[in-house]
Amino acid sequence: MRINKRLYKIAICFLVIALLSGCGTSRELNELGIVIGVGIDKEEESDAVKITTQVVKPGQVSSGGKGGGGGEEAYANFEETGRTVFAAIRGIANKSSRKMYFPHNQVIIIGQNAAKDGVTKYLDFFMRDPETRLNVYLLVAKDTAAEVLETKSKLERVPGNSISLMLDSEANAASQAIDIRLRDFKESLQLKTVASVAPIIEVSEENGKKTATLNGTAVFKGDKMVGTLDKSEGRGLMWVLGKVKSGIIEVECSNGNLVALETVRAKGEFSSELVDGKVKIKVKISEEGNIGEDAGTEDISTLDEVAFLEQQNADVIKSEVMAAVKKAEELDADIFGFGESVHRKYPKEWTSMEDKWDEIFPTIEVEVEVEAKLRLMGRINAPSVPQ
Amino acid sequence: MKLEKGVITNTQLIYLILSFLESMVISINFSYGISKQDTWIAVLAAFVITIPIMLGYTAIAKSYPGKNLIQINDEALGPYVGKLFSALYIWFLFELMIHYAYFFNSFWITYIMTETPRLVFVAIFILVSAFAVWSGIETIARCSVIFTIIVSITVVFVISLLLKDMKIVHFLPILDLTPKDFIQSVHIILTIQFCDLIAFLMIFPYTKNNKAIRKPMLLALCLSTLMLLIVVLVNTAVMGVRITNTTSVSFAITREIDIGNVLTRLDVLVALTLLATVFMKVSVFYYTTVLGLAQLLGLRSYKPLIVPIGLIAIAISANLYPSDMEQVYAGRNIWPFNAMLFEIILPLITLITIALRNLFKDTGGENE
Amino acid sequence: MFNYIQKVIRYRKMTSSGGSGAKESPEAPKESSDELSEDLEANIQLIQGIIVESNDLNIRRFVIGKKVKAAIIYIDGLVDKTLVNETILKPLMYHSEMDSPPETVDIDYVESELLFVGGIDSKQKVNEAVNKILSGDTVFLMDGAAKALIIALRGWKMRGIEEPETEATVRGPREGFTETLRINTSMIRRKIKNPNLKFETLTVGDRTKTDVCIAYITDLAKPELIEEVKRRLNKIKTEAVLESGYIEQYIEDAPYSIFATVGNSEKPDKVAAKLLDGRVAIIIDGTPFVLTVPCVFIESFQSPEDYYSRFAFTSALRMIRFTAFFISILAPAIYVALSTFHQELIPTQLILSMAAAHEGVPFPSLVEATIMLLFFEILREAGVRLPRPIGQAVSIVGALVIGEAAVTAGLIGAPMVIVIAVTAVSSFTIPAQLDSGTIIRIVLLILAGFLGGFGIAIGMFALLIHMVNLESFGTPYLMPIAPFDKSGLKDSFIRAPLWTMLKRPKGMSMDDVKQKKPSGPPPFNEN
Repeated sequence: MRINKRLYKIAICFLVIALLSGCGTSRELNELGIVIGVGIDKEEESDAVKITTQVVKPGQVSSGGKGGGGGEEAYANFEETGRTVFAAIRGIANKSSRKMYFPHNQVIIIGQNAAKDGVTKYLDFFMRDPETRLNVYLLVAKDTAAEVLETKSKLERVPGNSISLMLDSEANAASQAIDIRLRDFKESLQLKTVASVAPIIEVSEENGKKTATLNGTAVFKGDKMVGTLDKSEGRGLMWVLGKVKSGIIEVECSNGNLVALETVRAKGEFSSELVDGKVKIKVKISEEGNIGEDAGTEDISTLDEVAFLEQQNADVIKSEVMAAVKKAEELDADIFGFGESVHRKYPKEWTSMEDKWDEIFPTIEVEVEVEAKLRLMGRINAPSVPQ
Repeated sequence: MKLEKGVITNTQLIYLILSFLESMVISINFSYGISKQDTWIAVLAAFVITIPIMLGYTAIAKSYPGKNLIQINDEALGPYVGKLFSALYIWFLFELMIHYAYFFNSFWITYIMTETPRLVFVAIFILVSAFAVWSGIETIARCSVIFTIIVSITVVFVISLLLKDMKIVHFLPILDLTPKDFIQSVHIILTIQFCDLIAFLMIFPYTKNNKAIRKPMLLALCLSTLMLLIVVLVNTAVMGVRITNTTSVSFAITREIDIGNVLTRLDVLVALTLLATVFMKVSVFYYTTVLGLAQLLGLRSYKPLIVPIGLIAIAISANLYPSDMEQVYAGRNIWPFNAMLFEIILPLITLITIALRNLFKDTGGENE
Repeated sequence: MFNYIQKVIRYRKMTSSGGSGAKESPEAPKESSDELSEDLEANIQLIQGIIVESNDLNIRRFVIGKKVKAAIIYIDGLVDKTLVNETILKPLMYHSEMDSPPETVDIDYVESELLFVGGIDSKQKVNEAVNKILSGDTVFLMDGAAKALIIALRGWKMRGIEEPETEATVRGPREGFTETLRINTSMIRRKIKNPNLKFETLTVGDRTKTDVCIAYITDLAKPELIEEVKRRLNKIKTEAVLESGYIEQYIEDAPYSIFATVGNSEKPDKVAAKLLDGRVAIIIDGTPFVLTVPCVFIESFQSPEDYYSRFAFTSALRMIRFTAFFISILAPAIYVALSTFHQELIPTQLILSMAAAHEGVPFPSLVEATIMLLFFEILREAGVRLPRPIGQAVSIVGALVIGEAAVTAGLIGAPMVIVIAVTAVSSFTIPAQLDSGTIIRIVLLILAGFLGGFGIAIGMFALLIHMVNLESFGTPYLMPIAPFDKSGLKDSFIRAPLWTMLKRPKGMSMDDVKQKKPSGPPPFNEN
């Protein structure tokens, strides 16, 4: 029993010590600068990196906030340069009353210069730091990232939030800009032959107001940006990767009128084959869609017409894929991960090919097989014209 | 003279072993960097090698029913060698305890609370664990039932949320690594994950039916291997190549859960589950250390040893390695060989001695 | 654990013996073991020497058959005077008018032929007689008899059987126990018409001499359990027992624990159900609260109504109760841990609203939560003690002032008010754990405020270890969960249909009567 008492005493001592020292690490919500977007730019002249962080002002952004809004912005941007990302971020502490808090970061935007310089060194902090998350979206700015974070969104109060919502909705409606999260990017960076991609965001001016627009896809070789894909090439890439969720394909029907077909489901996969030491890739895409709009006057709901439209649809998909393949081969960047599939299927042969992949990739033969199906015609069958 | 009066049922023994082995989920991180996407094969291989070792352990326990490792050492190896062996084992159990405490705290301050001093965590952790040890093996065993259920639910929950992020291609190509790496990985899994079950040689005598320990032991081993295998498979399927340079995979994947922006950010749930598993592990090692030491020193109760051992453990564990880099290096390259001495070589000597004794004692008709 | 109790008892003994030196005053009943003599006046003197002169002590002297002097002694107000007159005085004093009175009248003759009363006992010791007088019995003494007849004609004003206010039910019997021991035992007997139902009475309390009755069913309750209950009751050394809480605190397994390991109820149906599980009930004179042992954690979540309603709904209710319990102990702690340590776990939109609400709040979250909890407890305490109409006014003022004004003034964030309100409402769903819940909540809150999620986890581990370690009269406190018992789970987080619950709770009843007698599917399911 005496020992019991002693244990209690020691326990209480420890608790007190522990509680006292633990208390210093807590942070109240109003001490945090909640970062929603980060921009990474490389300075033109020097090697320094310029970090832009977009911090929310909670009092302004909350819908329930009393007297919120007014003319005041709901966010503040902080800029700081440094030789390393971390140093620049901590440098912001000299300008901000609150500590930068990254777990709620939505987007990382990399400026064109930084992207061409090689991104690994800029992104290491965001992969290593315990606070940052790998679920954050990664984009490349057509010009500088700081500029993108300065744009005004017409609907949202914080640009960073707007960009991430834009990527979400774009993926479900158009599937022309690939949505890449940091974790996908990390994976492709770690695979030797796979070329990484990221969507491009540019600043466009409308009525004197700057807005951010998604436009195309950036292609990286290693960690350096080497080129871009346009919108349809971007979708070509997404067909192959099976990332298309929805999208509109415009085809001509048999008498030349435009018809818009909506993709509802799509599956894409590819396999590699070694024939006489030469790599052959077979891409197989199966797509299901609906008739979304008929710009002509003919009834296109006949079986013959549907078969024709399905063929047209398949051809468009095939051409988009081939365009993407062509562009990739031009850039000598294996954005699809063809090399990785060879690696998985032929691990022995791969050892000799791995180092020569740059030479092999532009020469590989790609065979695309598309199966497109139309399912629904909508609320009307023939267009509303006098028959 | 029995130091522990509590009795646990054989079903509780299964749960105790299960919750004891569940912390493999974190300690498997040592292997990912070496055997990459083939870690699951290494797990299977290690499991196959473990079975005969486990049979050896149970054979030792069965030849002296109702006696724990320290008493067996005395009887089988004589008072001097036996005492030496016992001291070595106790040191090993103590080492395991402080390593797990250090190991978990590394994880915690890397991911959850980066600014809190290590000593605070170790101190509180060991303190609560001391409370469990104080309450005896019965309490630990009863807690293990609850912990096992909680951990299993969490594992199933997390896996079901990650289903959409899994890619089968991440396993390919199979066996794309050098034999040396594979053997190293198997060795690590064998010594770090499985064979620290030697601690249970201290606990077997307190089971209700201490002659029938082989079945619960193997059953628990199979179940926990199954769980480990599932976790490794899920981790690999989600992480792919990123698995090689992530420090705490099982935890990192839960940060990637994102179901419609609602079921997201579940890290702490998993972190607390991991805390529960390590807590069980540290408690079992703590308990066996003090129990063994009390037996070695011929005390009437193990309770007076709880506080001093705990204080020493806190002091050592808070400063065990100068850096995490060193800890990972040791975990991969030094510890497996250190552990092999205690987990394989010493029990083997004991087992052979027992076998020889039986051979000379009787006409040789009986074995084991 | 027993050492603990022994220690406590020893400690009690020490303090009571230490203090008794000063208390050894003449007014204390002398523990004399004098025998009654054959002299009536001497006996009356003896009794008067023990019971101080008090005007409710009534000594009525009279003569039987014109020659034998006799007396009855009783306390005014504790006996039914009409009955005393009718059944004692009348027959004895009319005795001489009888047709053929015997030559000599001795006490046995009085007992066997003259008294018209059911309950008669005889005592030789003065002390025993005095105790009986004080308990409300009437003592009959007569010249030439060295013993007293104890005539049970108790009768006093008592509260009628009412619906208990502490355990209101929608469906189920409305009666509740009263302050009178006999009425309480009769209510249990009416529920269980079983010859094996046994009541045993002890007296506890040196001064109050309170009757304590142990009830159990002999072929269900474990003999060890009954022995243990008796042993602990007999070991109680205390001056006064005014309520069952006194007994509870003396016989608990772990007096320092925050959990009660003795159950109590005001409802006969609940107590009867516990007796049928093989538990032992302790009924104390003077209080409507009946104790039942062993008492396990899960009982706090079981209401007698659960068994009267349909099982699916009850099962849902059970889960709601468990959820509510966890909310009530964890909600403030989790809120504080999330908002000061793990902000990364809050969904982005939510953290923005929370941050907006916390903008300009002068206190840290921990202080905010502690203040609110404190206010809540004060409000509750104020409401409980006041008469009901004022109590309502208090809660309205409290809710308005704290909820509305504090948020408008920017002293407290609105989310914190919501969290505390949810906690408060949840805590009322499990009345049995209201006291322990309050303590756990505050401890966890402090741990969370200093150590975040780690603190909560460590607190919960310690709590779990403590609860697992706890026993109530030999039954583990977390019974169907740890140690795990599959059949017990049917009546824990869910309530299985009655006909599937074939076994009594494990570890309480005797092993050979585990099976409940009428078992099987409901009779209409036979096809």
